[in-house]
Amino acid sequence: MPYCSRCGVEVDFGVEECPLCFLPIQEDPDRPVKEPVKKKYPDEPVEQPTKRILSPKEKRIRALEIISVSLMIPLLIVTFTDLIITETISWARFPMTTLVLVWLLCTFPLIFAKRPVIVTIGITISLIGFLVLVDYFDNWNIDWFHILALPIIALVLFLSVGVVIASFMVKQKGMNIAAFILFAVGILNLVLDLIIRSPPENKVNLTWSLFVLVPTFIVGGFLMYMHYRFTKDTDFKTKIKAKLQM
Amino acid sequence: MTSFIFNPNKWIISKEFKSGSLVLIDTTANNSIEHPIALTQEERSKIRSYRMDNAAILFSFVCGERIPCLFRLTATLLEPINVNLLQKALNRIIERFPYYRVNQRPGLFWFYWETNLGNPKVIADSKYPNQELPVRKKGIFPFRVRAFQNRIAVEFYHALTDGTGGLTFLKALVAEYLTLKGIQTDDWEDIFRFGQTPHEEEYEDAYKRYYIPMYPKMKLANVAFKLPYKLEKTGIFHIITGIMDVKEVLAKSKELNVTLSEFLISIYLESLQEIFHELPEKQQKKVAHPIRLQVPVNLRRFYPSQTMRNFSLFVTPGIDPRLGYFSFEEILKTVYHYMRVEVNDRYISQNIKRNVRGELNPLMRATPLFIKRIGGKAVYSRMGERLYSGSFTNLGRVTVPEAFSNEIESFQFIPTSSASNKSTCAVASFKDKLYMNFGRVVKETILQRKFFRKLKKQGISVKIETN
Repeated sequence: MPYCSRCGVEVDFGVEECPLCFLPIQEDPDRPVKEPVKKKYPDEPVEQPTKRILSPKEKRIRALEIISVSLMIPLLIVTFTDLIITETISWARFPMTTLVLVWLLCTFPLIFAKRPVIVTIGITISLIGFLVLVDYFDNWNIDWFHILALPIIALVLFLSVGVVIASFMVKQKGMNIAAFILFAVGILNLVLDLIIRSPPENKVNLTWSLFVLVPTFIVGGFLMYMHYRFTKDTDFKTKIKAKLQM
Repeated sequence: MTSFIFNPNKWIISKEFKSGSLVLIDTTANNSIEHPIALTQEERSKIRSYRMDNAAILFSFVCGERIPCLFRLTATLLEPINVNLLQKALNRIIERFPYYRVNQRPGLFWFYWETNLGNPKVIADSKYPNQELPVRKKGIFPFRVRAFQNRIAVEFYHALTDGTGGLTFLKALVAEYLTLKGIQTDDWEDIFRFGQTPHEEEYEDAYKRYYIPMYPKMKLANVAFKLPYKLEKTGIFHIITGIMDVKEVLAKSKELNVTLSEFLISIYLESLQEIFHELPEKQQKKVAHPIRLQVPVNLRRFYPSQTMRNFSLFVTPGIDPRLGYFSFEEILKTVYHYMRVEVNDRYISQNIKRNVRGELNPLMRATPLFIKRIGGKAVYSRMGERLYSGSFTNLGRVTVPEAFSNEIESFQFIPTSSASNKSTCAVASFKDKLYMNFGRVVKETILQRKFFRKLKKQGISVKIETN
């Protein structure tokens, strides 16, 4: 019987390599008739139908379809409920507008997954449109949108873009990113306080925002210090270990 | 009235069989053709539901593509299989095993077994055994009978039964098949026969019968060393079969004053130890844990029970490579003494207590099934998979009446695949041969290579076969 010269194990006639070490099995020259290998198992590897794997794009389109259908259900319910009760579209305007906003907020990232600029612009425009409509539907007049909503959206957008740009610009990323976010949160609260409480006589009157601003800047400053003091020093871990005699 | 759904796209005609008979094979459902959709009053009265046994509960939570929870028993005959005759034998013998003629159904708190009124079908074999069985689908039997050339194979979902129950079924099926072929015998020994009434004890959950509530709970072992190889794609399960002369192995074991299992376990542990010590120092540090094997023990040996459901537990012989290199003699001694101490009814009862306690916990019982399923995998890993580096199971010597034995070449046991242990091992002997099957879900054959080379060094001749 043929055998593997390295492992010492026997194999069936016709087997070309050792199943253990894959060394070619020497053929017996005295054996005149070559026998076909007697199969122990059939060749069909998997008898179960393989699952169809969806591409990322197909997955996104499927997700959008599910979201659209799911949002359509409450939209139709509120519309018809309002129509049955009041025979016109009255209060249903608000949930309808909100559902459309939710659909837009999901649609932009799903359709333009790899285009962050388009997604940001799309979401911003959707938000602005939503707030304008809500303001208008309230009393058929635009009164608080330009005083409150627009400056807040502009501020959030400005700060978000600022953090993203700053994060891209720094060479070493780490705790400094967390610090940028904390600074932005502090500034956001400060300006919010100013926008919301802006008195008629234009007198600056800061109240609660200082309680947010001070801790965010202190913690942010500490993170910046930690980042720029120690991350450059690659031997920091080794030095600490040496100091502690570990 | 029973109706059948026939979808032509779902079926293929197998040309595998040389017996001249063609067979329809369901490529998706695996083992069931008939799906009754409208039941008569009489059929409805036949439906019975069974609670799962303690081991089955855990398997029912975790089974899936990566953990199919299937083991396989095969009988290779001297002549090619006649599939029509085998189907006839299966139709008859399944009547004798009503507790296997079931389908796994979800309840509010647990999965349970419900009588399956369909008929299990013989299907073609595949290159890789023990692939996932969609047990949670309605109408699917928790086992499948496959045929290839001279071989009859039955793959069992481990929640249904253990090796002993599986072997009883396979022996009954083969005996029925051979009887239909015209082989006669007067002495049927322990083989179950068509027409017998099942004993009530065959249905029992023997774990609960032998559960002693006052026993102290058992401490769980810590995590074990794992083979550091990358997994193959799901569904791939390589088999390496080592065929040895059983007398040679027994003689060597006797010479070393250990049992056959202890001898093979020691070689298995030594091979794993070598793999550990050959790893680069950095990698070795990461995987430095005890090397432990999962060795199932048939509890019917200790507690009288005729149950055909699961009734086995594990002992875990091992060594700790962090204590240095163990010589083969040291490993042999460790395994020998470990088995003498641990394979004992008191410790086994303590083990039963640990497993059954969780199932009987009121909070656990009140938890809905969907929540249990979420935590099931974590429990399976904590109480099982992570504690072992491999598994070794010995079904022992398979015997059948002489008239049947003359028609059979071999009985083999293929272990369940394990993504965590990566390689598992199962042994069975028939007549004068010992069949050792290593199943693995990785490409590397290092463990098997080391194992069989060591056996060869011990003076044992080995013949290797593979899929």
